[in-house]
Amino acid sequence: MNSKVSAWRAALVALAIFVGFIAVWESLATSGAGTTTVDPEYAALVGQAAATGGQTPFPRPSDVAVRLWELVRDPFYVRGPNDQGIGIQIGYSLLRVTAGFLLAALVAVPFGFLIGMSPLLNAALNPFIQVLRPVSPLAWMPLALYTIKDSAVSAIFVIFICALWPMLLNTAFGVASVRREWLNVARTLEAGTLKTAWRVILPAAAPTILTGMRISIGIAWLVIVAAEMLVGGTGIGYWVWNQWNNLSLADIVIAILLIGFVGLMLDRALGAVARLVAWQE
Amino acid sequence: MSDLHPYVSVEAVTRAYPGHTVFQDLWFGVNRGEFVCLVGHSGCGKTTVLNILAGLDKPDSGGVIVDGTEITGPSLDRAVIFQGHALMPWMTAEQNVAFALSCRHPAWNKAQLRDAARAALEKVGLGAAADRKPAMLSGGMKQRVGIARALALQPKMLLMDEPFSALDALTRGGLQDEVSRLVMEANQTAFMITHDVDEAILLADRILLMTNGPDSHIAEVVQNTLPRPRDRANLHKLPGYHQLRDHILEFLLTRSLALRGNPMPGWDRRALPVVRPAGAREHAPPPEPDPAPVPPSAVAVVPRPVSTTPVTKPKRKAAMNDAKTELGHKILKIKKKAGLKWADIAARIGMSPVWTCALCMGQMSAEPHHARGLAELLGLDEEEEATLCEFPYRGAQPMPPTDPLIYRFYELVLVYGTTWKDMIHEEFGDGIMSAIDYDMIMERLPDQKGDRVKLTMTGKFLSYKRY
Repeated sequence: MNSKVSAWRAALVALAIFVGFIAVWESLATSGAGTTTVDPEYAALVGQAAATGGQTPFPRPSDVAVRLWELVRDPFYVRGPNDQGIGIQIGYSLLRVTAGFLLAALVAVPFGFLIGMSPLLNAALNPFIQVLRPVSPLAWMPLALYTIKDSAVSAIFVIFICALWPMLLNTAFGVASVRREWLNVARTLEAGTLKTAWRVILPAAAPTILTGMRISIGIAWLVIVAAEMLVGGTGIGYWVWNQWNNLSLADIVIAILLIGFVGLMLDRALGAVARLVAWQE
Repeated sequence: MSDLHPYVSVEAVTRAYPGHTVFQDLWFGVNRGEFVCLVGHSGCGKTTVLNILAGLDKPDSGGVIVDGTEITGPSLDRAVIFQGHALMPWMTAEQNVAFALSCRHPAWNKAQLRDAARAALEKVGLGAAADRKPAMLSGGMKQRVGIARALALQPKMLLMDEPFSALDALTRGGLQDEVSRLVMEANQTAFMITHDVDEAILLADRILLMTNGPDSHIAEVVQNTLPRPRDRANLHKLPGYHQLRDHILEFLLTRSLALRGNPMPGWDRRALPVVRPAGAREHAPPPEPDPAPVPPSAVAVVPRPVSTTPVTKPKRKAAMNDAKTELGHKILKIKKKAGLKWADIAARIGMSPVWTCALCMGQMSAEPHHARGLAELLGLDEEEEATLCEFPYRGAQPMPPTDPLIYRFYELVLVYGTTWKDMIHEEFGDGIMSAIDYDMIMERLPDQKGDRVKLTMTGKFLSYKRY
């Protein structure tokens, strides 16, 4: 079907698309910087849009670029709880995602092992997993807030819940589908259950487990934005909501770009780990 | 070697699934230091036998006793070489062997394990590839690692599940020689299942022939009396090789099916009939072809290829055994009088009709238990029963060809292949039973692009329908 295309040609087309997109955007976005019709001091207080009294202009690419430079130049400043650098916000989000993800891994991998190794447990737990899996993690939020009574921990809990299922199911699947012959080798070698689990099943299932982890971290990063919008305080999700309240559309565009970029990095990082444990027949 | 207390003893083992009996009440033994092959078609349950010996499968009744103790499950004392090498792909060759060793010697430290693993790999000629993962090894090398892993455990018994069947012919040959050497060196007790006749002849001391399934049984035990050490290059030159090979092939082609659920008369599951198609173990090991007259065999049709550059008459003065010919006429009369068909007689001795007909007509020599069965059925006296067991020809076997090219061809056609049988089969269909008095003349035709060999076959072909 598709013959291989050289990387530079693909890059050239991508660049052309990007340039075209930027050009269309630039031309469509009305340069409504507008004239200040009110007192400059008032304008400084209420923000540009309110001050012009007109509609907030959609930011042009150049506006976004300028704003991005401002944000990236000093990402870690703290000027009170409502004004912190973009780096700090992303840091908070990453912290929550990491904590929730690690907790989920701590639970999902051992339980996945049990489910994968025991057909009985697999059959017994399957209905619960199938019912709980499709539930949006945000639906857990009120329960979490009520029981945990701490919004920061609740956000981590939501991440934990959403990251749990893919890891659990993939671990169980990976463990259950370890080749019969490798298990037979372990059996004829009289390797104990722990040794078999550690030296045979875990490495054999590792690529499948890592696939589950990649899916989990992707979902966790999707969910964190929504969760932080709800719990507030810190994090990139909260920052997006805050900038919406400030009507700083350029900041929201920037946030979208950054969320995408960080998500890509997370996926790449787990992809690198997956390559480490991958094996080839 | 004690038949009363074999080292490994399979006793009254039955394995059945609902509605499907794999085999029942199976008895056989393997002596210490002995190499036993189980030969049979796919689906006859031979892998199940091996899995039960390994402890990976449990018999429904009966048991397996190894060195005086009944087995209860898998054990390091019974190492398995698996059909598909079964190496862990995330470990290097050395780590694979070291993993096995770490199970055998839990107290060993890493350096000890590494050194022992290296040594085991050196033994199979893989010292240089120790750090490679299985994906970087060829099929033959992977199986070598599997062999090294099993042998490193120094097991009481080595179990092999068609270990070479996934390999190409060249690699397989090399590995067979190597396993033969390693097993001999270590005086290793070994049990292997295979459907490769030459492999069984090369490696085994005894060959168990298993009928087709379901409800298969071990029809007989073939004693491999060919002298050791054997190697593939000289195997076909050993006197008795062709008889042995034909006997097993014949079993696989016809009797394995005919005997299913229909054991030979006098067959005793606890004292399996033993046959020696290659003759008694009395000849000293002659690795070179023996020009002296060699007694013909259980199976009469011994190919008599003759090298001719140019065509010469074959040097053969074989004469039919007159007593057998006469007996053949007598049997024909009895058969006619009793209104028997060859198939009826064949059923009695559990052989194919074609084979039975050839045997009765004096084309083959019978095993004693076949002769007994025939004598009972046809009312023959003792002398006639003995005649059935005699060899059909009195005469000399020809020398193998001396021309190297023709020799090569002779090997290909007669030793490694069954091409001539295929050819006859195509010409005459199933009615053909054997070829008598036939000659094979091989001519070397000089050609600028490379000499060619022309094969001409002449002879009488005995048709089953004729009788």
